[in-house]
Amino acid sequence: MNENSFQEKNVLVVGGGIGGITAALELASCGVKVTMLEEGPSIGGRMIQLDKTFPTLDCATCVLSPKMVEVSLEKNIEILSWSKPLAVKKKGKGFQVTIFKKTRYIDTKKCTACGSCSTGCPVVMKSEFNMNTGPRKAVYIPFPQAIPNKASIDKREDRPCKAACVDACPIHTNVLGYLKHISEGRFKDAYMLIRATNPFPSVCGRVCYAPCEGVCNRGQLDDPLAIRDLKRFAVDQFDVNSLEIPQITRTEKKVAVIGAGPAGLSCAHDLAIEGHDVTVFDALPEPGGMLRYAIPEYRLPKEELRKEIGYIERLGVRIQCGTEIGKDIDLATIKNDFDAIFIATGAPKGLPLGVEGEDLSGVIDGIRFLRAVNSGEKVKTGKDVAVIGGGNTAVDCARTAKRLGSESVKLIYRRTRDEMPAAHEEIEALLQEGIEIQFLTTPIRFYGEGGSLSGMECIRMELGEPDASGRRRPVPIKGPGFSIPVDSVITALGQATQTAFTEAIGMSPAKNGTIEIDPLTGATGIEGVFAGGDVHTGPAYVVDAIAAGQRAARSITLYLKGEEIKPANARKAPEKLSETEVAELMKRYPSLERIPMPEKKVEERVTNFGEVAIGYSPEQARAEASRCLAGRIEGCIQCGECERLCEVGAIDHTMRDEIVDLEFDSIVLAPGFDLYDPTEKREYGYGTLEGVITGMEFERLSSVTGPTGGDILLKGKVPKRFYFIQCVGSRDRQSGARYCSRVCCMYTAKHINIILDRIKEPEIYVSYIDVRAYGKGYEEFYKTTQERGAIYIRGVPGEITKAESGLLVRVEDMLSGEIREIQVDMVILATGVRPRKGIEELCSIMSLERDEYGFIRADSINPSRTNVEGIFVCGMGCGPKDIPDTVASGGEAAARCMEYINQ
Amino acid sequence: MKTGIFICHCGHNIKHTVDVKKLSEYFKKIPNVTVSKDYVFVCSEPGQDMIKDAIEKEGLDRVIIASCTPSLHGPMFKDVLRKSNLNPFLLRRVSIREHCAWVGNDVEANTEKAKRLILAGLYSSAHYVPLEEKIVDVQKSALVVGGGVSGLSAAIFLSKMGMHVYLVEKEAALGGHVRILKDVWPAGRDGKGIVEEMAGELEKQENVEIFTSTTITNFEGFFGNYEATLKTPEGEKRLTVGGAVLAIGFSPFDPGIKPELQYGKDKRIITTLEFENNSDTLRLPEKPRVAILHCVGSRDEQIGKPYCSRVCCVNALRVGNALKDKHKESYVESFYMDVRAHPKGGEEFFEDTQEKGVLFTRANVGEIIPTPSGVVIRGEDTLFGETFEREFDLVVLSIGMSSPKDCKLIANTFKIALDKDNFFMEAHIKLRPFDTAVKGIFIAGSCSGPKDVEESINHGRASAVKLFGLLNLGYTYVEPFISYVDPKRCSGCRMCEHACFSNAIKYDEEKRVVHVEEAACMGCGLCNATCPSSAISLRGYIDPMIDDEISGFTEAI
Repeated sequence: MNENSFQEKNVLVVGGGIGGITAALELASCGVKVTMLEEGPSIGGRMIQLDKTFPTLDCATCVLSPKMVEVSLEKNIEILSWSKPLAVKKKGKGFQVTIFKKTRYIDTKKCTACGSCSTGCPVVMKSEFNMNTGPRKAVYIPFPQAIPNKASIDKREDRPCKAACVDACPIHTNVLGYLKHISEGRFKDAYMLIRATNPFPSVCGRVCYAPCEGVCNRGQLDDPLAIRDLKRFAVDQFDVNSLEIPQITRTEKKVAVIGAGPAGLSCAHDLAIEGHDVTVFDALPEPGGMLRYAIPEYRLPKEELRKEIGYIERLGVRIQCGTEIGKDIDLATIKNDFDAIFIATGAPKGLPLGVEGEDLSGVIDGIRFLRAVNSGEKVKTGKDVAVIGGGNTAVDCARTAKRLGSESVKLIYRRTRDEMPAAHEEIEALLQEGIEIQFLTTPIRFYGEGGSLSGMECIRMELGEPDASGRRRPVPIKGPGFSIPVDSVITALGQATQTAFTEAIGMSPAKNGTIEIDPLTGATGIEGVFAGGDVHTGPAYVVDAIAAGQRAARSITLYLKGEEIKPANARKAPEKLSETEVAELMKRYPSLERIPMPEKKVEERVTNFGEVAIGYSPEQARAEASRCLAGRIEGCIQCGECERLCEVGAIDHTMRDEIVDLEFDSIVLAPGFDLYDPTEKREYGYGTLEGVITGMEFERLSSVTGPTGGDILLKGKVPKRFYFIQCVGSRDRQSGARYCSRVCCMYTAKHINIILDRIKEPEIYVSYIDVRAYGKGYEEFYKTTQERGAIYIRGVPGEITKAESGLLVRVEDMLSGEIREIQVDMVILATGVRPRKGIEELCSIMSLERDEYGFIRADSINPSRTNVEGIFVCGMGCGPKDIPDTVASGGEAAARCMEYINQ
Repeated sequence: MKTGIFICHCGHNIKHTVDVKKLSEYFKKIPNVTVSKDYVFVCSEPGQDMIKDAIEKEGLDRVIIASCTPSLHGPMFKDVLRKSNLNPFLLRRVSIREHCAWVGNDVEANTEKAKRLILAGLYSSAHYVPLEEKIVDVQKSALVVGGGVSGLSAAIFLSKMGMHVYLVEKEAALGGHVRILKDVWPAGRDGKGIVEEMAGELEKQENVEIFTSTTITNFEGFFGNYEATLKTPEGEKRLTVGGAVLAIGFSPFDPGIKPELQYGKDKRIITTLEFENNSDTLRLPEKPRVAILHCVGSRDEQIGKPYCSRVCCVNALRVGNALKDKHKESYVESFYMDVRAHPKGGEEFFEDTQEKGVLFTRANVGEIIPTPSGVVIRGEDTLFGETFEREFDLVVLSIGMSSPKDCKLIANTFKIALDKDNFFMEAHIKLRPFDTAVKGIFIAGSCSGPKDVEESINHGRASAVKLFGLLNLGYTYVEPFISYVDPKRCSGCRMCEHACFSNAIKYDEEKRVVHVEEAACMGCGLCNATCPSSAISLRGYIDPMIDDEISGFTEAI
């Protein structure tokens, strides 16, 4: 005999339960190389799902997890999780096995099992580990002791849409994710997800220009999602003041932010979370910039803004208002006192129209007008008001003038409605409120008497060739002008920056007054000085300013750490669905109209500054959010939240399933078992009556790793009265199993002891046919269970129905002959053992014989031997066994396998 | 002294309820602590590299890892030290996950406790010295005690794998109880045929020596090199073996212990084993009336047999079946408590037996009264709550399994433990059902509790593969935690010799002091605790170490 010839041999163990683990460890300890296939994410099998083991009431996890760790550390064992054999071919004495490896979409070399991916994942699914009684995320680790302890992503299909919304959003808000949360009623989670990348959710939920909606792929089917309105809904469900402050580790670095607008404050917010000491300076008396002083109350209530800024202050940011840089403090002084500077002074100056009579009293620029109104100054507009311009500021001015009591308000715009830069819904609201727009008109002169305005002279325009912005340029029509009598004119033609103060540190702003930066990092030409927002771009949108602030914060942190200032990874441009894709999706998802945002009536709203948009009801919000195509699929929606949260970059959505061919000298099968599904036993009401559960579900309910953390609860309350029914799906021809499942009598006794240990004075009944306590220490355990007060009733209940309080069990007690009616809170069905799902396929690819019930046929004198030479079976694969018997059969299978490969 | 302290967050596990930052900051200020760091996963590769770096750069001579339970990742962290050229016994593990973080949610209290535990570890580890694990050669030979199906299975496997096997059977023939079974259920085969086939397979092997009519008189030594003394018909024989599988089976329950059964006093009252062997010679009438009593010698606390014997229900069914097959017109009634037809195919067998006409009565049998016309059974029907009295021509007692007669002797010889019912005790009832507390000594089959044929075969091979795994390495590490004697303090009282479990203490008649046989010492510390003159210490666990560890818990901080 060639001594130790088995040491170069390879054995395949199929199944990672206690049977497979035993066999694998024994083989490995003899020097054999073992490949362990596990169909699920972790080894541990059924045993790791148990709370305790009988008769010693040892914690199953405590007993088994060291063995699992042993497997993972054993050099001779390689675990292939999410894997199963597809085909087996005999090759000499051994086998060639084709193995299917399902991908985790996780680089297991990088994953540290920290769990942050799961925390953020917005897709909530049922946990198989918890017998579907509790939730898990689409990216998950089934239980803390899992081996391999690596996350997996449960991706069932590709996302039907392109998630153009996320790509279009300057701050890449996880739209898919928060819509998924809202559609399933998790409003706070939705809020937190929005908050994760946006320090001003209540602002963006109201006044964002929503580039996401413009590109929403559902819009190609019917209507785009109401993404902004749903954000507003999520925001309304939650009080910012109750938000907890995260743990912050201080860095002792000081950063100055110039300008308390959205860019400056967003930057300050992110810097504070990084632990830097941040001071924000602003010239105006209150922080908020344009949000505070330009946007009218009816669109963005000041109180909402104050709360958002309050949170930023709670993060430790100091806001010093009423301090103008260049006047109150010199920028050079700030540069000396701080480690870095972010300039975000915006574009606070209204641009003049440049026509005669602009200095007349009664002509005011829009920004000044709005600032005055928002500062609470008493502003009087005339009877007839004309607002010059077509942007959002112009619309805001017009609607504000209306609310201030002006009889007639007109908007004068030099192009047509199609070219108006104001948001579509704002223009609609404006028209609804009775404000007229005079298109293709421009004033050329204001006139009046005694320095007061009395009218303006206008000319007609027509559209010419497109200009640099792509809009058609207005060209004056030759001919006489005409007069419009007005007593107030508000000009809203654009804004400019004020950047002269930067010269103190040697900066030279561009001709138009903007500061030039690297748009990807926010860095200016001067070390340690960054800028962004309107001061760089000229007037733009809130969300762009937030994005600029965040970009700068990231760069500043890198700068303060002394690292290279690299831009964040660029995102792809928003994509459209192809026509075929649209057609396919239309078939799958019938058309659903967008739910309009409820608003106050026009008559009511024009009289005051109360908020116009009322907000969705929870039902409306859920219905609207569930229109999102991404949320319609099972499993991972590829929203990218896990990628954002994973610190080690372990998520890889490009990974693919693999099929590999491997050769083995022998195979040990340990496929394990499933449990009988008692739904077909209608008389017990499983699945229809609340409180009727299976033994395995009870196991998860009482386990600390279970959905309740180990508290035995029913509808949130501790049940007191329990009824156990044994032999459900065992010793029962009707259910197709004449055999005894060998474990249910004892696991019932174990459950009773768990209840007796944890619940005070419970009432416990057990229905049985024979109590089969045959193993070592089992009979004694059964005796103790009876002595501790469990009432054993010989007889099987006829039916379970709903009772006044709880459930009513009708049972004939065969010992006394009487029919008893017992009221209980919870019924636990001791369901029997069934062959593992998929065992048929396994046997067919290996040409294995099965017995009448479907278990793998083995021989009682050569217990692990199957009909195929070289393939051995252990554990429940060949019939019901308890844990010690499974361990013994695992060892036996290993021994026979050793003998076979040593021949 | 340069100690490095590494505190693990264990992801959220520890960090969530223990302030790890506070801990690492605190220990930075303690004397003799050169490095104090916290890290998200000390067990991860970067975590291990961090330790290695610190050892190499800072010249650490003690490493404390405050993380999960020491039994987890123990060998791995020892390896980290080895790879950094530091003796692995200079590592101290402190469990702040199981002992602090998982205990409750009170961050302050948990952190305080963790601080104490680490401090205790720090004080204790100051006394650590480098220790060496010795390597000892292992004999590639095995002793198998018992020639029943379990012992035969073990012997066949070991010999086929190339081990030299000594099989010892106290009876003249191999085969144990299975040899006398006529019809082994569910195989449907003659027991003699089965065991002879197995014995034949074993005898074919060259490296096997079988000793029948032989007993073991002595067994000593240590794993890898045990010395066994056999008493064979040819005289005494001494063997050196690496390890042993004990498969000494069971003894059938003797119903004579229960006088109310009248067993032995009337020939019409027999056991299942006797029925098995003499069913042809029983002089039964044409339509015999037969009673079968379950649970004789099982589930009976009064006679000290509280356990279920696991196999007797099926044995009772076999009797009923055999009677019905032979005498169609017979009246067969089985008196039972529960019918435990649990093995594979058992339930179907039970149903078939009922269909053949065997009656099953749930009853407590009170007494058996032999009369000239028949044997009367008096008892209580526990289903109907009525007493009954019925007359039979034959009463078959389905007897249980009792612990083997030699259990105490063998347990003493091999220094293994017995359970409350005098069966051998396994190291862990669930996951280590073949292991004992003594390295290299395994137990198999019904000597650790009642088992049927299939289960005994499983046990035989499963225990053998475990022993093989150990022996096949060819060497073993001897843990360095062993006792040593200060001969100057030893008074030669020899109390330690009695305390020692593993015969490791040897007395020197000449010098009148003891010394420790290092390879045999298991490091249990019993001698250490017993010695009245504090002459014995345990390497790696010396008294000052423990004193200082305690002061780490108690001192004011």
